[in-house]
Amino acid sequence: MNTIEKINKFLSNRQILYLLLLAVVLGIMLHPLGIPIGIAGQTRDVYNYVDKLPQNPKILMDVHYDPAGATELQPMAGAFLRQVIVKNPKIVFFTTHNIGPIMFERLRSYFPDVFSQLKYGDDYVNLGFLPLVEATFASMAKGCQEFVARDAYGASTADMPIFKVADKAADFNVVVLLTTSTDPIEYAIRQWYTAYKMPLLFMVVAVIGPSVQPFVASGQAVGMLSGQNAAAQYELLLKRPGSAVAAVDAQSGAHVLIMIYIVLGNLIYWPMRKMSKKAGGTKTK
Amino acid sequence: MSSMIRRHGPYLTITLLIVFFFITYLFTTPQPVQLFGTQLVQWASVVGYFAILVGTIDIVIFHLKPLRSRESGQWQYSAVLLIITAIGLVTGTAGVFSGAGINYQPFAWLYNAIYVPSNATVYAILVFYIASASYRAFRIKNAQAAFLVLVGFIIMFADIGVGYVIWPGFVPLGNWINTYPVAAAFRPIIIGSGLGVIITGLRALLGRDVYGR
Repeated sequence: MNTIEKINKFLSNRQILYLLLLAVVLGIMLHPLGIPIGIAGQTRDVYNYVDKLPQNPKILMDVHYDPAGATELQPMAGAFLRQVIVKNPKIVFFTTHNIGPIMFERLRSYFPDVFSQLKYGDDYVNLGFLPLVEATFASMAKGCQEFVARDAYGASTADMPIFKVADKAADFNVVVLLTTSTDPIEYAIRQWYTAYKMPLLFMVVAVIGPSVQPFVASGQAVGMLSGQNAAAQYELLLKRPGSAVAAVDAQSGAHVLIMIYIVLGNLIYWPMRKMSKKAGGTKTK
Repeated sequence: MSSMIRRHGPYLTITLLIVFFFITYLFTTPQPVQLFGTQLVQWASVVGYFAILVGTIDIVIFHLKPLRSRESGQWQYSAVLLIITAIGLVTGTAGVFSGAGINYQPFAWLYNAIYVPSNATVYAILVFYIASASYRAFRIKNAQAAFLVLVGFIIMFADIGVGYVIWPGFVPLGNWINTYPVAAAFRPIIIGSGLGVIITGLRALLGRDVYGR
């Protein structure tokens, strides 16, 4: 076995790669490097859009994510709420994800500075889990109060003052969709944008960002934040670094390690291929 | 006649309902028609709640079978699932009666101490597989593969602070790739799948796609 083959054997060992990855992520999380973060135009556009919302904006917010997506989406939601809180917003929260009610409670407990400034029933309401996403979107556009008789805690929505100003599609200044899936995006386009031209703001996990991009590029959404890096950029724009900024360093480390592996993999791929051809062997994997 | 109704009745009903939905969605209709349309959509959500109930009953029945027959290699998992379902049901119902809802301590603990970390961990484990797979997949075997690796690196550099430190231009470049080439590549896929849905829907409505024969 020559040197090239030895290197290939070392790099191909998954256990070593997993250990290195774990060491890099843990090491950076314990000793953050404070790597500078560049602000993407798309994140700045979202920040500027939210900044230009009028006083007392009416916001409809779907908490459509599970714990797997929370690392990326919860910081975005928190940063968004921190940006709008100074405008005395009226926010109708609901979820079309079965784990959504738990995620909303976690959001509320992670950002007490935001929720302590909002009075339940007057400034915000949590309508809880509503099944069948598209039907729910269609019904809520016609009137949230009529559609949901009781909130997530069993209280009647009939006497809640918030619904006097934030009830139907025309009332809302922006709809925020926090999601780990592309399905709600398409439903929102159909039921809210196409039917009522409601301004949609998407906050999505990085893995679905590219498939949501066409809707943003075509102007059917006012903007999109995709992935933890966008969350970190948003936190920086707000000058309130949070969990996304803290985590993005470790993400950088993991990315760099993967890139090093890809480069090394290619550096040994060509000599291995030549050796294989000389030996008259089959394709090198 | 009865077989005709049995075969075509459901299609006819669904077709009429969909036509009705289209009319209320696309055109301005009299108030009673609009109200009826709204009611129908709201009923769909109620049906959704019942679907969850039916699903729960179905999964319980499904897992009772291997438990009763002590099916090798399965009954243990079925038992765990049924126990967890029972615990969730009991604590959830207790939460409703106590007035605390999902904030009822035992119910919230189940989620916050077991479900949330488990779900997040399973997702996080993906990074190890992605790292291992990218080492094997990103091999520059030809010009197309080289282009793929190049764009992949630009996007990765645009998404991490290290990229910004190396060259600040990575961030706008990555943004541009996402805004134009990526959107352009995904748009035909979305339009294509949309057309596919329309054609499948039309075939179903016209009775050309008959399932369960």
